Amino acid sequence: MGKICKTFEEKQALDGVDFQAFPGEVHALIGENGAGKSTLMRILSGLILPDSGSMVVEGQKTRFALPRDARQAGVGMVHQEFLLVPAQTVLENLCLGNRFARTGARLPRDHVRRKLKDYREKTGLVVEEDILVEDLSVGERQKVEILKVLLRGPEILIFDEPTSVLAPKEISDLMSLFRILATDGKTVIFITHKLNEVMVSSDRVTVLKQGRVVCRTVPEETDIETLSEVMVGKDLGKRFRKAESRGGVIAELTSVHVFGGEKEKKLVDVNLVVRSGEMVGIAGIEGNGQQELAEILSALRLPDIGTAILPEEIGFIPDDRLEQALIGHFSILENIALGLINNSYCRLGPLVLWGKVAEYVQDLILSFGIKSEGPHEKVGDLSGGNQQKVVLARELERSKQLLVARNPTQGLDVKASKFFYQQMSKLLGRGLWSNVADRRGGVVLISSDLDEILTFADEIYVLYNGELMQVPTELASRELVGRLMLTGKTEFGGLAMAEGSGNER
Amino acid sequence: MESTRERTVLLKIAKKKTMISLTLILAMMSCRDIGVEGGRNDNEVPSFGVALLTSGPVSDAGWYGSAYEGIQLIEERFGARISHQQTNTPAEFDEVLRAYATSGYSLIFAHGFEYQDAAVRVGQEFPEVTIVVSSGGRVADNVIPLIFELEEGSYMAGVVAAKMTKSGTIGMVGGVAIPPAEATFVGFEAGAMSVDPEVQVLVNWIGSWDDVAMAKEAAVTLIRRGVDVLIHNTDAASFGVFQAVREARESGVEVWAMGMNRDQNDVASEVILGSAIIRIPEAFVQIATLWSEGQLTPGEAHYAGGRSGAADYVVNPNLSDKYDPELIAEIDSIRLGIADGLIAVPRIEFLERAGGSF
Amino acid sequence: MKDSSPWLALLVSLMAVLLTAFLTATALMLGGFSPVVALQALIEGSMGSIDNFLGVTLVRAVPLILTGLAVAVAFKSGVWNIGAEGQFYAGAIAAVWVGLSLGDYPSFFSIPAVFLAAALAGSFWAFIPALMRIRLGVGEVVTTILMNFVAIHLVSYLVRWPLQEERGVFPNTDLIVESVRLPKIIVGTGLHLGFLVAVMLTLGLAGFFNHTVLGFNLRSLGGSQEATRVSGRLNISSLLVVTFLLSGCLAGLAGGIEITGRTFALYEGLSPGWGYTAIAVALLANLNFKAVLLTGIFFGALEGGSGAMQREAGIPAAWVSGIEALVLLSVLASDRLFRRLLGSKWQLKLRESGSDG
Repeated sequence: MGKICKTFEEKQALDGVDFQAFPGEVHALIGENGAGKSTLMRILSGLILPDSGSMVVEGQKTRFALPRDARQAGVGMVHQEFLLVPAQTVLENLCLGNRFARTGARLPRDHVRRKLKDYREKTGLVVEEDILVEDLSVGERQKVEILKVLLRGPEILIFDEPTSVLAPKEISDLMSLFRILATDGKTVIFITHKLNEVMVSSDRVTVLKQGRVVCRTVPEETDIETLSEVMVGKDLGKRFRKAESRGGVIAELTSVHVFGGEKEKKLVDVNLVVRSGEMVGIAGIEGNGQQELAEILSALRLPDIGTAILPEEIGFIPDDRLEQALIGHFSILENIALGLINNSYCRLGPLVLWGKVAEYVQDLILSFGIKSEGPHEKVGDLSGGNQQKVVLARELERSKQLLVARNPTQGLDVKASKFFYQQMSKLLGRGLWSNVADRRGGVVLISSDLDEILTFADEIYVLYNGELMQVPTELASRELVGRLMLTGKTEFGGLAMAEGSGNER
Repeated sequence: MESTRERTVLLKIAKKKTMISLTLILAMMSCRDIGVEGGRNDNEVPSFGVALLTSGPVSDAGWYGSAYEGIQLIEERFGARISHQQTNTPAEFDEVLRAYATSGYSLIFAHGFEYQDAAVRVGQEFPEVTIVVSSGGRVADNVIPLIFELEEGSYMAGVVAAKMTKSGTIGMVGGVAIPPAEATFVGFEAGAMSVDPEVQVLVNWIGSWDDVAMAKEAAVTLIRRGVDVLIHNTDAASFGVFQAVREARESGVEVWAMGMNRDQNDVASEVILGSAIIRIPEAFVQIATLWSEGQLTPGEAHYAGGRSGAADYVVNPNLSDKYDPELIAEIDSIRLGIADGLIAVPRIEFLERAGGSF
Repeated sequence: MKDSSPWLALLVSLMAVLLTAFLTATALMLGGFSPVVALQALIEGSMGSIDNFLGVTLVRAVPLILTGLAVAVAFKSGVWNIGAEGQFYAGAIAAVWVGLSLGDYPSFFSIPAVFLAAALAGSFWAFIPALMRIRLGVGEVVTTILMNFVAIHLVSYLVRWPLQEERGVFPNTDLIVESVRLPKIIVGTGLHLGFLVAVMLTLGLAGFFNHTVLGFNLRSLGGSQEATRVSGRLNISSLLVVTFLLSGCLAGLAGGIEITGRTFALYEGLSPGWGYTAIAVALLANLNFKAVLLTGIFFGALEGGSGAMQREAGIPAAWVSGIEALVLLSVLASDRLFRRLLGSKWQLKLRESGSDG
């Protein structure tokens, strides 16, 4: 692709980008939120038209007016948001709208089943075919999405932030899948923020910044620090400071049980204490009770058995931002108002003071660096990272005492993540804010990103199969916590687990 | 200030989405003068305007259809300008009556009792216009109910039914139990009783004029209870009655049907003995004649019955061999008796002089 | 994807009008009718004179606007209320019942009383499907439709038995007294106070949805129930109830206004399906309240004009309703069609001229 330009309304998203990727390579495309990564890839997959520039795919000069054209040229894209029908089985989803790339003929079911078997043998990509998509975890849904694209037999595969919702094991599986595909002669392009992934898995790297290519390199010739400097433009600053002191109990769960359908247990005898000034990290793979635990902690539901003592002002960052946190066709203003409208500053009796709300939101847009046309831009038109910033801005603003966050930095670049953790420091009363220690809040971080938990959390728990196990901080290593997340067991059979651990039977 | 922006955005959206309707309205307004004047080739100036309002389609080959035939006859005989509108809701009655009154239609047939209140209201506004309300119940100086004495036809049908029945049980399937419909059944019963005071008469009202399935159900029930001559007073629902009789005959039960309102003999000519009829077109012509001669009595109902030949019983020519020649003769003499006033058919009176506010 | 150019919008609407005119004219000619005479009658009858515009188009628009608002409120808040028809009848029943029971009190007392009764009855009619959705999880699409049938049959029963006119002859109620009838906005036309009520409610609702906390919450509910629950921390059930009640209240009021403004008595078949037409009214307006006012008037003009088409141009009723449907379809289709066609061409043109320069 050469000299690609794209302007959205008044905003220049891409400014003369040259981009090359070759067969048989894994190519990482990195950059801050809004740097133009997704835009570039959408052009390559025919979702949007460039304003100018040219494109050469497999030696042929092309211009994709429609996604179909790109598909026929052998370009497939795995999106950040999954486009699956929850009420249908995996197999049905795979057949749905999927055609042979070159002939356009519909794929028959048997063919799909055969193909799946092939892939399983070749790549180790295993998904049960006859299960409903709504019953799958996020990681499994992603596999379905990847299979959907693979079935079209593409030569170029694009992954838009594929690892943001995955557990470490799943990430390493995905990376080896990339390698297998590349060995097979395909071109794999993946967009990411996580520089360690880049270093480990990619053959070549392209860094985008503000719509321009600022760096092309190979991992052997660079390191994480250099890359992040190129990406963000300056030093990342110091590491997050862990808690020095803790205050009184802010939230407490005692023997909490939650039941799902028939005899299904979502949470089993969960005990949890959150003190002021402390960040509790709960690691675990999606679907092990995270949603239920998060809803109980944010007072959205009551436990079926047990007690939950919670503060008044709780912020909650849900996992699925477009489903639970944001309303796509609402503006930034309205989405933030969704959480803050009851703030006495924003209303006069039954009336909304939109003027005040707008001032408020304008401030948040500036301080969180939400790249937008202003408070009235639709949230659905923002990039994924900027959408997440909207959620963070609102929830940090409302969480005076407790913040419950699920995968809060998904889709965020290094700079935005850093800003987020700064805000958390403020809430926790650390660093610059330690002098207001008496008003400190607490944070519960529920994440499948092991590094995030290990880096930031003061207390570490693992949620497995509805059971919450505490891991003593001094023993918390990547290996141990990772194993607990995947198996609920540890080799250290005799290890004294903290209260509420019931895994060793 | 902030809300100004929001408002502009909203307005913009609103404008975009409604531009279509606005433009349509504007376009309609601006091109209303472009149209060519008139569409009629009549060289003669029509003598007067006659309008018809119906609540149902004039393609029903029944109640509404014969009213349309009526005004077509008036057009033919008097060279009148005619027009028809099918109304969809009582809420538009006033508007349509007023529209006719203001555009030179001086005789308006509002074909159904449902028009009576609106007719009185509009009649008060336009004293020079005469509104005839079929089966209406309210009388005013220029609002004239047209009462069809269908009971005179159904009286004759009752006589035939009592002569023909073998089980001694005859039946009626009714549409909506309003007085004009009830009157026909009173007449039917009286006719039957005049032959055989012991005869059993069963009635089943279905609450609808055109629910074919319900009518069939009702007819089947009556047939099971021993009815072997079955008359109806419905509109399109009558097909259900005939179907039930046809099926009963196919399964070996000796049953006959009778038609009502108009000559239905050819609708199911193998099962219908004859029909009690009103000749709506003739009644309309009669009213138009009286009206054009200034003979229509203001403030009085107009009766259309046996005397004027507007109500009658017609033997099905297909099945005339089922009739005794004596019976045919008896029918003729009853017809004369009714016309001369020698035979008094019972009727239900429900007229009311309109007063107060409408 | 920006199509903000007012010229584009105007062009789209003009093309829509032309296409509509072309299609209907063709259909009329195929049927052997003169399109000129027919369309002239259509236009003349709906807006050929002040009298027709006020007394026909606007009067006919009133129930369509009010039920259209009812549907728009519901759909905007994510409630699929297909029951405006039944709620309309519930309102009409309550209005006639209260109107008949009230003696001859001054209008400023009795008319609001009747409106209140109609609104409450409409709300009640919508409350039942609301309960069924919230307590039993039964979808409102089915229940609201079923409640329509219940209302229609209830009217049939009432006008034959408890509420039948005093003479006991015809299946309709007595007429309500003069003091319960809506005064005319302009004397000499049929335009009654109901139109003013419709306009004020339109503006009121627009303000309510845009400038109050509750209105905003309802919009959020329509945007995403899950986000409203999780991020808005709002009680979905009570918001749903509010939506049902508000929607039913508007449809009920429409019934009350038809009784007090036009028929003065309850008849069977009072509504020729306004509650269903309302869905088209609301959707054509893209659920925008102020636009409902305009689309309501457009539908009113279409209905009034089609009456004139029967009277003046002698086109049979069945043909006229066919033409009516054709007009609607082609307006809807050409809106989308031309917007897309012209929109992309327009953009290309802008883009080309922009990148050349």
